[in-house]
Amino acid sequence: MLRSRGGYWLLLLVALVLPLVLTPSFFRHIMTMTLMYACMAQAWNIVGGYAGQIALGNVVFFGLGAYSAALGFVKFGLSPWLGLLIGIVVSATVAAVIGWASFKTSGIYFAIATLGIGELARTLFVSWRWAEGSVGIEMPILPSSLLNFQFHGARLPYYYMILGLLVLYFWIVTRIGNSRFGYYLRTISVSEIAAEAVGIDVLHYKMVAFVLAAVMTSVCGTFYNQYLLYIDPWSVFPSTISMMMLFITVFGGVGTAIGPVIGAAILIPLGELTRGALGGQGKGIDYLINSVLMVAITILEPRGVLQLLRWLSGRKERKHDQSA
Amino acid sequence: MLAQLLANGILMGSVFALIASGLAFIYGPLNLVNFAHGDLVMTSMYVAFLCADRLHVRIWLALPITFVIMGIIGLLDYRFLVRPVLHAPRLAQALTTHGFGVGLQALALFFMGPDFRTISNVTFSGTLSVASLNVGVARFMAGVAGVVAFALLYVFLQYSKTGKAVQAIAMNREAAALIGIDLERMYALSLVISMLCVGVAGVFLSQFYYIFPVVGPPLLSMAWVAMVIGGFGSMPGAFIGGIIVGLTQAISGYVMNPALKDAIMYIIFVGLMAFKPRGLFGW
Amino acid sequence: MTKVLEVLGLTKRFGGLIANHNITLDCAEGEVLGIIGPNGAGKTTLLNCINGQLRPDSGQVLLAGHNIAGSLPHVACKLGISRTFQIVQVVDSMTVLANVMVGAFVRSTKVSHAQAEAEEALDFVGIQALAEAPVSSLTLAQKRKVEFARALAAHPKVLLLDELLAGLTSTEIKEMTARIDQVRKRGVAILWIEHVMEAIMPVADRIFVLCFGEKLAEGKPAEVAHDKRCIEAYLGEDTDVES
Repeated sequence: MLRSRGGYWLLLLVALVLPLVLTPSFFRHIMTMTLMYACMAQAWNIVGGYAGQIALGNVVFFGLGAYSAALGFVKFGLSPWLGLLIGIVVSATVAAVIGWASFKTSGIYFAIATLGIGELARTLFVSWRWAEGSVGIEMPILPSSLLNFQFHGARLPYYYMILGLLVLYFWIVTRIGNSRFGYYLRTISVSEIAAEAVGIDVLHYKMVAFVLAAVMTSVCGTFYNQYLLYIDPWSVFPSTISMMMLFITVFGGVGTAIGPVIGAAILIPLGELTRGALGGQGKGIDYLINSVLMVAITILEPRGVLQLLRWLSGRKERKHDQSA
Repeated sequence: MLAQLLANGILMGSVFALIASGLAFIYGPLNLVNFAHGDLVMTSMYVAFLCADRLHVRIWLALPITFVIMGIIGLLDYRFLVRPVLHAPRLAQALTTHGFGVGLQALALFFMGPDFRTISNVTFSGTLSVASLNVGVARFMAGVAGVVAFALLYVFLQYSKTGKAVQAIAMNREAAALIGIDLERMYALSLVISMLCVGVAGVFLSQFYYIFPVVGPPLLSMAWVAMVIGGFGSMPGAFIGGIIVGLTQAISGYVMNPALKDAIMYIIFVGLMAFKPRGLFGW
Repeated sequence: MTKVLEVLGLTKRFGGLIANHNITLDCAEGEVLGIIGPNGAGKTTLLNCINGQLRPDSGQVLLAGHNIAGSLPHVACKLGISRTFQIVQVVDSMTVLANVMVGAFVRSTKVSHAQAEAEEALDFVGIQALAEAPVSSLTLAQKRKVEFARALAAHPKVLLLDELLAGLTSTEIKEMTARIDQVRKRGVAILWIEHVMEAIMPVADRIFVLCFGEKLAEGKPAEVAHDKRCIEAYLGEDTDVES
């Protein structure tokens, strides 16, 4: 994808150093959120990009991860790390049920089912009094430590944690791409009939992809709870987050490992800056920009920004050859 | 009390059925799921709201105004967002229609704000009392509108030349093209008809339903469930599906915590998907 | 010769239409059974019932004596049935090599092993030069070969071919037919649906004629070619044919 392996290491180096250079907390917040969205987009990439299944409600796993940690701690005194595991189990179960019910029928059912679960989760949590409903859950402040999964002051550890997670997710997706699992997913994405005929248990692989994406997204939700220390149904279950996961991946380059990273790196800061610049008047403008970009990229260059970059660097190479 | 619930359920169900039919009109002939469908209903609700609130017109004038506006939106939607992805992978279709829907939500949020709106000078107010049933006039008219619109649609499909052409395309696109049906015009027409359904539903809903930017997605879910229950490709099926959805909503809203009625709907949907994806009448 | 594949009394209905009625046939190791018949005879439906894409309403599909009727296609594939499709089902976004590797993966999970098998299959079919080409850039004949190679990469016991030669030039037909012959020599049982008579008649060991879902005739190519019922089925009742 990038010119050489070195390109990736350079990116990593930049990411490692960036928060030390851009010190204002506003920038660090944007960078942390960018990395978190890149992680969630990467998760979506597995089920939506590689396996080609249109999952429209992955935010449900984000919210479940967040609430598992929050409720676990506030109601039962469980460590957020345990909350992380609970979130994973709950998300995996939800994904398994929805997947099993819908994967045997056409992909549209799956799309609608996932769209519905996101909406449903929000309305359920809003009216669930035990989970504090609309009021949301505030995490008690604990001393900064890895064990407590809270960091105060500069809050740099959050950034490096999520960066580490992204590196892990990137590695996972790269490994998938070069394995039988990846070849199988890409075949399923194009022709399930052919996939079955060559020995692929289509139902099984779709389930694995979806459950994996759910688990990966859930971890981000737990992170978010610990990062913000306050969640409510509107902030952790909105359909806009689902849309962003999709959109970031497609914008950047669906079905590639670096696509979600590129997409997040462009779109999240763009969104934050738009919201910041327009203030209260900007209600909805960032969504509007997102939706316009989403439609534009789908129609004009469905392979995303990555394809545009390749085309540009291809042109540079040709020009170089001509002048040589 | 039960009769009251059934009455409300059937009336709302009739509106859901109309919305579902609008969705079916695009899914059948164009083989495309319009993820913006719910948001288009939202848009027509706001248009109706503005007609009442700013132009101070009654519903009888609001209806044609909404038709025109929704028709234009439909044609623009078809030309710029739907046509480019008619033969593209499902993901591309989902993205453009979903993107359009979110765009509509954003516009609604920007121009109208997030608050829940209601029309203050409604055309239909008061309650009808029949036997021991009390039904809001607005709800009653919405139910009637749903049935009337649906009947007109059905007659159009079954008895008019154009209607049969639309059915032909839904059944077999290539064969329809081979016998000389102008696919392009039929696609555009299907979209416009879908918008008319949306327009009627939105205008009548605006008389009693809360209007807010994100009212769309739940409506889309319910329309879809109605289509699934009734079975894809079947218009009477979509109608019955809508009625069933309306009844389920009404009954479960009464029997249990109203917040759970969406959950019940969803469980029904998942169950159907797992065990009877063809629905009651579908292919 | 051992019978690898046996179909006994297979029936498949679609609503009121009987696509396959009480079909019985068999195919042995290293045998080519040609399946011919007019359009709509139920040939592809038969193939679909054998590889599991459709569940037959009654009857058995015995693979080495074991009934697999109604099993999912991926199970049939793992047990040794591979196939090609009338409308080529290849993955446009992957390279030729990657497509064929997908076929090889049914025998092993390792990428290196699948790659070696795929290269061998490409070599056999004669398109090794195209290995790195994206499938989207290929001609129909080349795509057919890719699908053929993919089916072979799984080292099947039974190979189902569905109109492999449709739309090919006569040179391409000769090439493909030669390859099919070589596959037969490896001991694979081949069920081959075909319309291109000049290709299938010389190569097949036996021919099975399907018409309106029923078996019309079965036997050596020469016998079947002279069978009046078959001539009528293909060309109409009043035709006077000297073949």
